[in-house]
Amino acid sequence: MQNRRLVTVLVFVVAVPLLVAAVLQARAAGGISNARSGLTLLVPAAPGGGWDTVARELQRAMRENGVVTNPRVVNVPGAGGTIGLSQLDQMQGRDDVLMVMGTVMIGGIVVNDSALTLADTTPVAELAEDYEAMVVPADSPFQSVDDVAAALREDPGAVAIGGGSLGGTDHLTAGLLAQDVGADPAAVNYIPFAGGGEAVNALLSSSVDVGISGYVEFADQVETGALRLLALSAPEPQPGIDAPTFIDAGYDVYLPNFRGVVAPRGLDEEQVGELTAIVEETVATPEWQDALQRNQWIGAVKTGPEYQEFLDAEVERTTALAEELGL
Amino acid sequence: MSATTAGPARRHVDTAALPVALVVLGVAVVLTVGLVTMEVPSTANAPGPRVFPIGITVLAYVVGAVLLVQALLGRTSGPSHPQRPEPTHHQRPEPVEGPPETHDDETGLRRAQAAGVTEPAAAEVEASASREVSWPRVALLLGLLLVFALVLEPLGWLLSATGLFFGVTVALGARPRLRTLGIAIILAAGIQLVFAGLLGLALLTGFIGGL
Amino acid sequence: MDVLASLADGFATAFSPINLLWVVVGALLGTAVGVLPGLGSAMAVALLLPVTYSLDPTGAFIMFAGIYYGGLFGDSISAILLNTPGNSSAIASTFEGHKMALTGRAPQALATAALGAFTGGLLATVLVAFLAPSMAVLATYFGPAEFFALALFAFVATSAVVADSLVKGLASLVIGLAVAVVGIETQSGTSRFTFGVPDFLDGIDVVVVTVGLLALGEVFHRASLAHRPEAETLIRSGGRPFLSRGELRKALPAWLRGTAFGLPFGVIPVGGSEIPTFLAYGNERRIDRRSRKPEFGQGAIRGLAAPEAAGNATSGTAMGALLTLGLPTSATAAIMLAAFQQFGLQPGPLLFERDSELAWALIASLFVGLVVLLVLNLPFAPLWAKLLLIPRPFLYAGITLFCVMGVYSSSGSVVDVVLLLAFGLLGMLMRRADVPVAPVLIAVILGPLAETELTRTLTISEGDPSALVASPISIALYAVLALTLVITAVNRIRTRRSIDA
Repeated sequence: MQNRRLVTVLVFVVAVPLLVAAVLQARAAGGISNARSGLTLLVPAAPGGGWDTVARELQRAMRENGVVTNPRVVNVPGAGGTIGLSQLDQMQGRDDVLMVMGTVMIGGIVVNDSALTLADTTPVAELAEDYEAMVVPADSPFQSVDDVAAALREDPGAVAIGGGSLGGTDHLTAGLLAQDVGADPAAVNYIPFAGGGEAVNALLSSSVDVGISGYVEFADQVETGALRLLALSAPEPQPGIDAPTFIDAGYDVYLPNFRGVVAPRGLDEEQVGELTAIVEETVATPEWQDALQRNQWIGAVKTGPEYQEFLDAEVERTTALAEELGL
Repeated sequence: MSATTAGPARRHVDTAALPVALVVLGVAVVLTVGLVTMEVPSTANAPGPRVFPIGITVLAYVVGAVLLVQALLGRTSGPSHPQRPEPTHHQRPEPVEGPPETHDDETGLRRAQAAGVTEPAAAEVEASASREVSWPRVALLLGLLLVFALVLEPLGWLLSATGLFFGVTVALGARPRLRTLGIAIILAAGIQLVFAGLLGLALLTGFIGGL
Repeated sequence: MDVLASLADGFATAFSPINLLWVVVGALLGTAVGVLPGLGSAMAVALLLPVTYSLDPTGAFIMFAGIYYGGLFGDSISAILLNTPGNSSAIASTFEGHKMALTGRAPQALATAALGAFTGGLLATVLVAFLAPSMAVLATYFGPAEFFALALFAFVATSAVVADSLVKGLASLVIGLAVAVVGIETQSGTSRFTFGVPDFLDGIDVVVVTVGLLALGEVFHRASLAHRPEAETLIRSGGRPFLSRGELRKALPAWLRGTAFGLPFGVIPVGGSEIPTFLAYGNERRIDRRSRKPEFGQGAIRGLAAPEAAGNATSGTAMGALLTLGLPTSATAAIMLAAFQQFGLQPGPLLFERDSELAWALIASLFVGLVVLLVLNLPFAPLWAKLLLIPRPFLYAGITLFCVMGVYSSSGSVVDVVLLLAFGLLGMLMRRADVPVAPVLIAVILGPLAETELTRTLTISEGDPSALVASPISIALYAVLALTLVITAVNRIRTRRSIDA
């Protein structure tokens, strides 16, 4: 009997301090803090993807430079980012949360029939862009963009274009090209893959005729000659890349794959200003510059009304395009 | 009608197989509903997002019906021999009832595959002979988990998990003791501290977070 | 020989006392997280990787290697001891492995797993070190048509193996397939069977199904039996973690066969880690049936050895695919890719030209990680086995806790928790009805694969079905598939005839 009582006492001797510690930790983690002490970076995707990388690079830059004392990254994956979006929506009024998003989210909202859109968020800043590249396997009959354009014009269905998921930047770029050459975007034979990597494999095995994805995905293979780079979806020619931009080649195709952050709705000017200041400080740090270089992102910072305008334009254009593509 | 060689043929309803048969049929119905309400965009290509589900639904109806009939007729299928059989075991493979319809290549192939699949069974380690189930305990466990799912968001991990642990030990036969509560607290708090605190996993804090 | 020299350099960088400490820490942490039911190697990597960020690249890599292999071994430990595999690649280990644990041979099972993992991983890493570029070429022979043929082949080969009763096997398969089609169909964007629940848009996570059916199913099962006295008996294990000569003799060929299955699949970016484990298991079972003294069902060592070796061999070559192609073949690999990039390592065909030093340091770290894991875990095997000595109510309550935590934290959705308990209940009902659980998992994993690849093939060929048999690989796979069907059908007829005789 005494033994049993002793055990119980011992158990509680351990349990009580743990309980107290846990309660404290819970308060610290869950409590509404202000952004400078505990910013939460919401990533509406699984760890390892593009948005996740952005968040972690932000986190690192913030932490190393004391911009934010304890930035946290939280992953809420699913449904093209719309699950994260609905999560953000439940946090309205909170000024210590930023959600990473980008072009892919706009398409995701359309594909997943999301009731919420970016209009239900408070835009804070655009961070970076990267450009789409169109490639073909080394032994492909297509030697230039013109060849692909001609093929599309003649019989859109015959050109199998591979890239990322439906409604993503890759798909949209294909649609833009089709639109520009007068082919019906909905007739585009687009094959979605789970990511640039799988698309690369499809190209290397010549399963698809053309590939569109972020230039970074193809860069190495282009360098080794396994893939031929036909064009880049960029506003102007990029240093070190030996291919014309779509625009230079005569096609009005430019769709940046941008990445930015938004905050929940229901914030006042002061709160937005604070969040914007945090972002501006972060992107000025050497760690962020280093991140840009390592990930081959192109820094493109827009804040405030400039960002709002940009975002509105992108949403309009992208949503229209997605609908033309039949999504 | 084949009789299994294991003991006398039972004529009462096989209550163990019944729930599964019902589940399969339930699945078939749900799939049917989903199929009917599915909106397929115009740009969908061959074979189309409907094909696989249709094949699966058909298979579900067929298999569910067969299983149901078997259960109602009380045929015990599956081995319950404690000792090990020789390779050429005398266990009858289940005959495939109903006409062999091939609705599309998928089910046809699967049928062909299934036909070749049934091999003499090896003995299962868990004797399925004793089918007595303590439903009250199962219900308790089910209820506990449901409650947990519901209170997780408002109450947060710490409280919900403590309650869950305590409840499950009771459902599994332990006597409810104060000591168990203590252990529950240790585990729940420990997990929170290590995973949420140290490793940054996002565990709900519930209202405690707002204190 | 140049390879050996570079490798030697890599070892020189990797091998320092402090790094050895890191790899041990990583291995322990990885195993500890991986063993928790509901968590697994993917979670272990995701959670523990940030720990490595504070180290220098070499230290980080070596710790990472420890975490990676530790996590994989943790998967196996929970698969064997608790029937709750931490990752879908460990599912095949539960069949015979758990039986071994139940019959008191848990340390031997763990030892078999450890050695099998070592064998598979070692051979795979050697292959990667010496043949990395050529391996990458293998992947380029596979397009959607080949993947479909492969998926179909694996489907048939593995379902045939684990289903004893036809109707029950099919019932299980159907349930799995139904679960698999929930979600947005990736090729057309059609939302299927989601019934307005946003959490279903991405489909039902295989982790929820696995953990629910196996782990929670086990808990429900215990609950249903709890009123019987024998439910309280604890499983005592026979001590030594080392395998007897007889056991070694049986296990070794199985390890090698398993490795043979596992090696090619790592470079194939679809369904990579589960298919070879199922195929290896199936193969062993076929061999066992033909032998004089069949052992499967009671804990056959070969039934555990082969899938373990296959699983780790696949992980090893998957790492190779990641490094040489920059192609992540699983969620874990995607996380690793991001992590490598953070350290300035850019996987891809130019890896060994650009970041040669770091790359070789990583490969050397993998070797070290493998050895350390073996050294750590063989003696620890009886300790892990002691987990089974915890009184059942506490053990399973703890399992429940970890399961819900694992599921909730990876998706943040209460819906998943509810699904979890539904599958738990289903798991119990299926057990009671003698319906095998494995086909559900096989269907959930291979079903979407098959459908996606079929759709892709037909889309690319604009509806032309001849694209399915256009390449030698597809033809070969279908031929083997047909052959397997014919042989099993013939065997069945023969068996039936001998029954009637």
